[in-house]
Amino acid sequence: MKILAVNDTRAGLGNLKDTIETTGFELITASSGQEALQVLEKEYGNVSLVLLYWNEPDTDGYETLLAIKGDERFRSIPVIMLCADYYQPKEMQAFKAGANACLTIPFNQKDLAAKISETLGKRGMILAKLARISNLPTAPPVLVALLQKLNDENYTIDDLVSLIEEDVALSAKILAVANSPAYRGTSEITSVRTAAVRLGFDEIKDISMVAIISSSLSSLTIPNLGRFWIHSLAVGYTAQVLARRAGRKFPPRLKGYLFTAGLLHDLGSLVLYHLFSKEVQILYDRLPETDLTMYQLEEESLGIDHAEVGAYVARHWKLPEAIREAIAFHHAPWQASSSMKPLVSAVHLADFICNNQEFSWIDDNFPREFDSSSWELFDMDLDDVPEIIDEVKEIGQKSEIFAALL
Amino acid sequence: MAIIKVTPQELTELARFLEKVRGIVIPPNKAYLVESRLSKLLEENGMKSYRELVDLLKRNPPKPLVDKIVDAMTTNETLWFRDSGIWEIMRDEIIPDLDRRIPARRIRIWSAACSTGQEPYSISMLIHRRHKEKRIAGPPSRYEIVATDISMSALFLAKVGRYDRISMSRGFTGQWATYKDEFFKTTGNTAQISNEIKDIVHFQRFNLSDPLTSLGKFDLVLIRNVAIYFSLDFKKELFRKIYNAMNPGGYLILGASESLRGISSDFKLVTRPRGFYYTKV
Repeated sequence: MKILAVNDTRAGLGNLKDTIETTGFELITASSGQEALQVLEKEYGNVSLVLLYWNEPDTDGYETLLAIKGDERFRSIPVIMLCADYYQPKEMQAFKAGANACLTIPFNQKDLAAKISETLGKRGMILAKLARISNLPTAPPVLVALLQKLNDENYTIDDLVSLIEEDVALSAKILAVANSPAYRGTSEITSVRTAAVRLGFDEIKDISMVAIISSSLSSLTIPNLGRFWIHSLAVGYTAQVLARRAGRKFPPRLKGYLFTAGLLHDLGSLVLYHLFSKEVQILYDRLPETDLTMYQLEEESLGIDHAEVGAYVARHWKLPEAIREAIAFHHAPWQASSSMKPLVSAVHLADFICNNQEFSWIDDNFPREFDSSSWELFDMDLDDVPEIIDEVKEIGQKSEIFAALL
Repeated sequence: MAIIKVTPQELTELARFLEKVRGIVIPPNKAYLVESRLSKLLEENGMKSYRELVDLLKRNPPKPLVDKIVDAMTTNETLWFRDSGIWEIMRDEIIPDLDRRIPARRIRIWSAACSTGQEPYSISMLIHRRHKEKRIAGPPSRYEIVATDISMSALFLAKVGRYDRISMSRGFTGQWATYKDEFFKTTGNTAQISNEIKDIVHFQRFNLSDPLTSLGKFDLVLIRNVAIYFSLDFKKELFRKIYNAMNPGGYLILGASESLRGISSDFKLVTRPRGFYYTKV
């Protein structure tokens, strides 16, 4: 995450770069208001905060503030005004125009760091911590390779088999799954190729995805890890079922992402627990005593929820945008972009249904409602519900067997 | 009436406010309830979002507005056998009468705002219990309970019929406790209602401002704690439509604190020590 400083070349600002890097952010600069707006546009979504130098009678700083706060896209980015001299009415003017804080030059570098963390709040600081964390697991190349091929029609089963065979550990895991009671046919499967032929292309792709993802995340843990994977698998499979039932209403271009999106939708929970186990454990303990759902508790006490954290990691891993949105908006599908809405809705509904059927990894306080426009998108009938529930029960059993092998 | 969406943030702020000033708790999972109850209020006050409402409440909350919100948010709390008295009347008087009076055709019941299914399933349990006690003529399938609501999520949960511990702890008190053991199977943290109870309940999404003709004719209508929040004109129209959708001799049941005074004079009020109901003469 970045902090944009505008006109930071003026005297009295000290070593902004060092101060900002101690807070975990990267400093970028612009030399004028106009350039600042261009940078905000180019770095849209990456700038956490703006530092604006303001020295009357030069009005550039103030006008830039007005321009930022007057733009729908940038309005929510906090701005700290760095004022060349202290004059209370001037501060008031800045606050009225939407500035979040003011600091008079010259200032102590510690004051600036404190002001930044105060302005960004816990949420911003968590994002900053995420940004500089070095032990965040990285996406293995094989995952990236496979993800790119999820929707590639020219990708063949042979390509997939060779990709898997390059990785011995992965091959072994896939054989274990293929020979498990969830899949096993009459005779033992001894090669990846046989597994691929026996189970089919789509199935072997899904199994590979699970094996790759679970091993690349094996350094992360969470209470109820076994149930976490059962839930994630069940949501992936259920999302596929919902899309299949929707038939032509579900866009083919998103089909390949369904399983992986479901599998990864709670990725942020793993990462949050990894980074803030003590704080998050307190939230788990509080859960039975409140009516809040987990993501609301996270939002309330950390200022950020697992969906946003997961989306951040997805971006960091350069996962496809479809998957990132499914992770980011699985609790709020109405925020998804319209082209991704069917995928996000499938994961949202699948999550709701799996929790309802106790294929969940926490015991209580699930969202009690789903987004009705997601339901309408799939054009399902209430009379379909018993059939869906039956399918989800089978999926749950399969996921339990599967998860035990991870 | 258009439904206005509430964001989790707005919901949290609204809940905090109500808890602080009135000691009322709105669970965050009740967003659909907030939306279905308060959208009209927003509209009336020319507000386009819950943000506007929350900001007004934080700044300078007008008491009549707060009263209305509280009223809306505290009604229709779904529980099993809600308002015990009327359930005794249904068990001892209304269902026996329907059973006796209508020997040859299907008996139709409408639960007009069924939420997650507690009301229609409670009726179904009454009917099945009577059947088991052999005090009923014909099989339970002689009854059809049409259960409607505007919320798809609520209907989904109703249709599944799986309830968590909190839902199961609401309402199965006193004489009704045995129904819980008889008609539910508990596994883990949830209880599943039995298929026999589900079989005679038909769930359907329905908006009360739509014509009732598509639903057919009814012998018993339960519309409890729903109408309070509609405008007088809407209520007059609604009960006129309900009157037309009822068979002669049919029963109408409202919430314990509701009345048709000033809304409809078509129905005959029958008062009993344990509660009251209306009939279509």
